[in-house]
Amino acid sequence: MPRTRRSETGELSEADAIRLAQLGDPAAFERIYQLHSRRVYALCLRMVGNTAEAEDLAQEAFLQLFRKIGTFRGESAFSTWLHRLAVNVVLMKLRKKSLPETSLEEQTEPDEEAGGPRKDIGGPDLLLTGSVDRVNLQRAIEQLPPGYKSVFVLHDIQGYEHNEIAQIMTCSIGNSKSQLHKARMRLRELLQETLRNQARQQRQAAKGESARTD
Amino acid sequence: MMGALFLIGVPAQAHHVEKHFQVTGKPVVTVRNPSGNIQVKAWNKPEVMISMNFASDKLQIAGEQAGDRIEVETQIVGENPTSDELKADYVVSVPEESELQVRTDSGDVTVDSVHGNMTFDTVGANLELSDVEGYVVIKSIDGSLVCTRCAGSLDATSISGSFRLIQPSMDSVRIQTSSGNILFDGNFIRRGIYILKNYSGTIEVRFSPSDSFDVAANSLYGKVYNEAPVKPDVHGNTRPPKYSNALLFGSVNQGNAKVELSSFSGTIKILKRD
Amino acid sequence: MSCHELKNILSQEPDGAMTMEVRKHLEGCADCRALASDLAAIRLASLDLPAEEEPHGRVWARIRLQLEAEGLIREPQFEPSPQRVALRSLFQRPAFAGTVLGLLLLAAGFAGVRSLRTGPDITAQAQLPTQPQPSEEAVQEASLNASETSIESLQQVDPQVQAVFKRDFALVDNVISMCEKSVREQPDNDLAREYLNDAYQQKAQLLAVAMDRGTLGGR
Repeated sequence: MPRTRRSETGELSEADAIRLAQLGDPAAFERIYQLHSRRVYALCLRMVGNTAEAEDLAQEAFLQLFRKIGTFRGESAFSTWLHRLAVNVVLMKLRKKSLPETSLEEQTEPDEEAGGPRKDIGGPDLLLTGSVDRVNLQRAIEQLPPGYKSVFVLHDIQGYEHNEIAQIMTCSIGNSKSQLHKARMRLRELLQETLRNQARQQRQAAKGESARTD
Repeated sequence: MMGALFLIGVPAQAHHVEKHFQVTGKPVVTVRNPSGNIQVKAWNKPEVMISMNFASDKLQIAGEQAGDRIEVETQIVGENPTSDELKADYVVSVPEESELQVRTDSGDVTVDSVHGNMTFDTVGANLELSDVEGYVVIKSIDGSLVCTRCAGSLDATSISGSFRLIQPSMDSVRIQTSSGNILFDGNFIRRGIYILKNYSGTIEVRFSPSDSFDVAANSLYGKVYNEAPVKPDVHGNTRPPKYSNALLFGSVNQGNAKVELSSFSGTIKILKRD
Repeated sequence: MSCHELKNILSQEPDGAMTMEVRKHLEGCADCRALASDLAAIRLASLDLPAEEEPHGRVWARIRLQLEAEGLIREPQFEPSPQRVALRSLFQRPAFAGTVLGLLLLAAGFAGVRSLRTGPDITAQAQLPTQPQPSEEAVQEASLNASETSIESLQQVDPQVQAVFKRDFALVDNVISMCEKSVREQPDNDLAREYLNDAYQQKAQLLAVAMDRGTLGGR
């Protein structure tokens, strides 16, 4: 058996870990997990918004990976392969939650024209600048249809390029770009609605208070 | 651990705490309470109200709100609490459209008329859900589930937990338990999938003459009692190798839904609804 | 350039460089300026959401348990494994976890369940140690003993919960031995093997939950 390469600290390289994992070496499995768990878990967490589900999904993604690791031949980057698995695990779970009759296509194609600001009675449109915080954004992301959500999380949060996303999602680069744009437009709508609701609540609260002080 | 926005310590005689959380949209409410009853009901205020009763000073309640996410947790602060000292009872009022995540280990959990996805993670609590709608996930070791007039879908795994689904309108039901009984008395929705599996115990399913479903039922060492008019599979499916010795495989009417009942040594009953 | 054209450009190149045409249109169109500003605000906010997050230690613990339950782990022959310090620290009582799972593996080999594993035939590639075959009673007894040790050493805060675990560990052990017997009697029955596999998974799940709840205060 050839000696495996280790870093200064004695850690397995990814290539060696994959090879050893294919033979069932438990340390190799753990090394692969160490190398990729933070990104995979973050992906799951951004997609479903709560730690319990994200943990389950990350666990399932790694289990599927480890079950199939014997079939990995190095045709694509290992991390791309793993991310594709993870995205599929998450999308399966999200689809399960919605009615079976609705196709993914219907979910991912709200009217393009609706991307513009809606006119609300009783309030001007508010600019988002300075009003988008982490919590609001995470909540809005959770409300995106699964297809848009995946591309948005992969690109804007995890920093993947469109050519990488195309491999992960098995779609075209053009598709990845247009889905990203639709995701951002939809987020804009959702965030504007949140702002409107908050503004309305504040107005009502103020009215309530002024009534009481009369 | 949670960074708490408030920590309700326990002044010597205080046994009751009430907390109100204003919400704007569909809230996600998480309750972690190891022991005690949790009652969740719906109202039409844009508000989550949590009311807690507990009898010992070895507990404290921590809570946090971030936008529409609300988390409440019972924490143990004393040493060697007895069974009674661990108990805290919760009454939670939520908007009808809410998501729930409940983690508890003993006690009764009831949820009434809430629409949203729900997750229950428990060791031995008994769950009673009525008129809920959403994707329900249950992970339990023991304890029972009674689900009445529930819609959406259900994914449940347990070891000795039992399950009763009364008048469900769910399009996907997967229940796997080891020694628990499973009862399904409801409609098989078109294109629905119903997979009920145990190791021992009884799996009972009730049907009406107008129901339309494919059925595969097998008990390795137990019996299958069938009152349904099952004819050879209408979709042209042959028995999958896994069901080569299956005691029952075929279609009722047009086979519009899929029902799989499987037990190791238990009894499977497919009974006509009166 | 019209608003519609600008939106088309955005759809094709969401992060494309600002051209003169686009700049000119924005100067004259308040709606599109608002859109551009909002998209920038969203971009900025998304930088605050981290690309990496540390999952709780129990995630790896569960994966590890499941891998062992499915027989995907083989101890290597050619090199000693590096210190599994991280893994050890996740287990409250490393001794019992290894014992129980080791026995599950032995039992799996004994029942000839190796063929359940999908994937390349690893026996061709690595020399597996020849283990002395334990007697069936020895496996069962040792497995039962291990369960008892595990429950006792993992103090549950709530005695009611403790009772559930004690009962269900015994239950699952019984299920495993019945399923093993069934697979021996009907080696070609896929359903029997499926039940055996399910039983191992349930044991792993039970261990994971017991460990999870065993710390003071849960979580």
